Amino acid sequence: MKQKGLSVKSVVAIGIGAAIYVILARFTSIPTGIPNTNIEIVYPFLALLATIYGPVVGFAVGFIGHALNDFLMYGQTWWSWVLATAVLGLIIGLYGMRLDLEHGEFSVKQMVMFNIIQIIANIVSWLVIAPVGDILIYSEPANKVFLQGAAATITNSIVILILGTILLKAYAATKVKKGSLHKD
Amino acid sequence: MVNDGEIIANENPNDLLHEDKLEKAGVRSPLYVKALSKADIDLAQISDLTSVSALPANPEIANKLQTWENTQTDPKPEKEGSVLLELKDVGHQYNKRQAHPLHDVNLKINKGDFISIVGQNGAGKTTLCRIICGFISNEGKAEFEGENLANFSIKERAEKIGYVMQDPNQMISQKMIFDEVALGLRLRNVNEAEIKDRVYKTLKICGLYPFRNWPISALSFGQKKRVTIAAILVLEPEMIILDEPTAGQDWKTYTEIMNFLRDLNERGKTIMIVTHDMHLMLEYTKRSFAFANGELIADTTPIQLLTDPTLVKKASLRRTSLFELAKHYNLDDPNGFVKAYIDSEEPREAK
Amino acid sequence: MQDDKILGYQPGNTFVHKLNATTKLIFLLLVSVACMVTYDTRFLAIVCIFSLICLKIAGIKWRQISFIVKFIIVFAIINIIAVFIFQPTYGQDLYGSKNILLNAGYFTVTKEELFYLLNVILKYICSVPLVLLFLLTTNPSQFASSLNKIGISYKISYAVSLALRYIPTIQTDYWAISAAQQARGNELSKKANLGKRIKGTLNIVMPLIFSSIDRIDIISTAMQLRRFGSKKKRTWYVYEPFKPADYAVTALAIVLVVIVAILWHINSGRFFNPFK
Repeated sequence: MKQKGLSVKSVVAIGIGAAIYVILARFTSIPTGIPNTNIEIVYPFLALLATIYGPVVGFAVGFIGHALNDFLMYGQTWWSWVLATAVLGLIIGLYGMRLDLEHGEFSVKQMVMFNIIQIIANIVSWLVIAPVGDILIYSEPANKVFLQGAAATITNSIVILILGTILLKAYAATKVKKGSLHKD
Repeated sequence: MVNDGEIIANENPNDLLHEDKLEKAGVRSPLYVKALSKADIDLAQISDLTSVSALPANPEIANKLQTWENTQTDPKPEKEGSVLLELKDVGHQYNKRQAHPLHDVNLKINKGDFISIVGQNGAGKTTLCRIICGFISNEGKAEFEGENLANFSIKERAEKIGYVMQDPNQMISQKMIFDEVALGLRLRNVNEAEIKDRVYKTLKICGLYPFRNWPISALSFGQKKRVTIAAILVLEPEMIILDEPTAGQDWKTYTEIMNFLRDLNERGKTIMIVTHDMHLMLEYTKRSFAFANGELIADTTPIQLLTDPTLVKKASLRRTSLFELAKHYNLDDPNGFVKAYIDSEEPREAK
Repeated sequence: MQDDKILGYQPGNTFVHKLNATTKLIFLLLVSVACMVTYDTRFLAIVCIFSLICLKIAGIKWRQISFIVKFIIVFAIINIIAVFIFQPTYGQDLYGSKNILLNAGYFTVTKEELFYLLNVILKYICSVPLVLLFLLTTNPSQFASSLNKIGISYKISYAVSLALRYIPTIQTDYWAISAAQQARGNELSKKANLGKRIKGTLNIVMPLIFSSIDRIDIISTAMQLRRFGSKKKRTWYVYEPFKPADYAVTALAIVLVVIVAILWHINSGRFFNPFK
């Protein structure tokens, strides 16, 4: 049955995905000792979800999740960074359409490609969209926003590189390949 | 009826109840049907077995049941162990809007006890478990072997009191069965050789040894449940609390798990089970705590709990079909009948 | 288990509570946009005071929001300090004049810079009371239906309501898993080094994520069985029509936007410049 627009699964994935995003953002930040820099598991999670469900879900979860979390934690939303997170989900989701985690596949070659794409996505989000948004919407000084953007790009790329790869690999591992098991 | 991926029966329920296919495939027959068999009543003579009320009003059947009940002997009375865990005025309120928070719980759990915790959803059973394990704060005092539990961290408490949660997916974090069971030992820096030894031993006890090299993703729900039990057992706690260990299990696995828990209990482990299954409570546990609306309303034997109409109503328990059977045939002492059945399921002394 | 720290709906009977969720959403959005666009200090100050008054009317107590407010204050202070450090001359550039208050080389403080920073603070805080107001007085399912009413596709609105509905559930799962992991021996507090904390967090996060992803399959099957998504439009159970009060409040929001436009014209731009 051909459905117009979002499938039911996508709608649910967006809803639950955003809920998971909010909980992870609120409770699983790990401070690194460097001020204002935390290890955020949210981004590896977003990468996983976008890879499984595609760019539209990736964008929506990034958008709704980040916006809701800002809303609920700080009482206000920083729209430029919300958009940046959404675009991160979008780009990674685009590449995700080529992967097949659902069947346990995540080869080394795919891992490398995934990380190249995620680094590019991070650069676009935090070094372009977020700073430009900050300047246009919030009239913040240029060098502050670009420095902030650069810091975010570096931290988030590293976090997705390490934790994201682990997460994707672990997810693929939970999907069993056919005919691989015998009782001993 | 399905078994090992094949449909092995496609009949109406009444026919199935007359055959013995159910138990062969690991599915439990209704207790009242089993009771009739035990009393040597020929099931082929009874046309409709689908409910107690459908059974024929035949005085011969009533006689056979009464005779059987009279021939059952009482098992040996249990010896009481020393006090292991004592709760004094314990309770916890989650938030101001909670209608019936757990409060004023006073009880003593003895070493070697086999206890069931029953009551409606929201009555406070899971809250009690969380308090004992240290996951939430509590009013009042909890003491383990005389020492105040408040002095112990969650990790330290886990070495004395193990808690197996209802949803195995919330406990499992590793890919391979071996690693999952070994996790607790590895986090306590036990050496690998000892780990291998203890894990294999525990896997054997849990019936998971043939799967020791498997990934957890390949297991059924029931098998995952057993993995979580193994993961707790391997730490050798003095007391184990299980939250609905048999929910969602077929009768064969349920019996395996319960027999194995009974075995552990006979070796000296104190076991507490949160359950909605009255049969489990009657057949395996020796003592019951009943909760309703945040209060402990009974601390007694399962049979006394189930045969007290006030308590049954207050805690919303389900009456066993055995009781209905006894009433249906106007037996002298329905409570005694139920007790006789339970005692008949105990493993005999000389095994 | 940390029930009170979540910013959630508190039922009540005030004027604000009785307003339609869509009205509140429209008001919030229009006024937030207006505040984002303008740098007119007079407008921002008035909106600040106005929104604080609204909080009072709705009967919101300090202790319900104290946690959030402290957070925001800290966040705002860190941000202004950063803004100042990176470009102390930004104020001068914006307002085109230089009135030195404190001579300190690179960190010279000018009146213009202070005025700019004042504006930044006003912008942070002027719409916060309104957002808090919205969150505390709006039933989440009404929030989702109100999104649909302002034109967002019903599928997205439903996704938002799903998210709001499942946040508490997933939070409970998180606590349960976290507790179980701590019992196994994972050390998550400051006592453990960074490596152990990351591993410990992963041990919690992975079962949480994977079991939640399983929920997606279960729920979407349930919804498909109920034919969700087969039509283009959808009616909502909690829908309420607009009352006079709703029209009035919406009108007020539009008036505020118009004022911003007028101010833009008067100031020839975004900024109100008292230095000219």
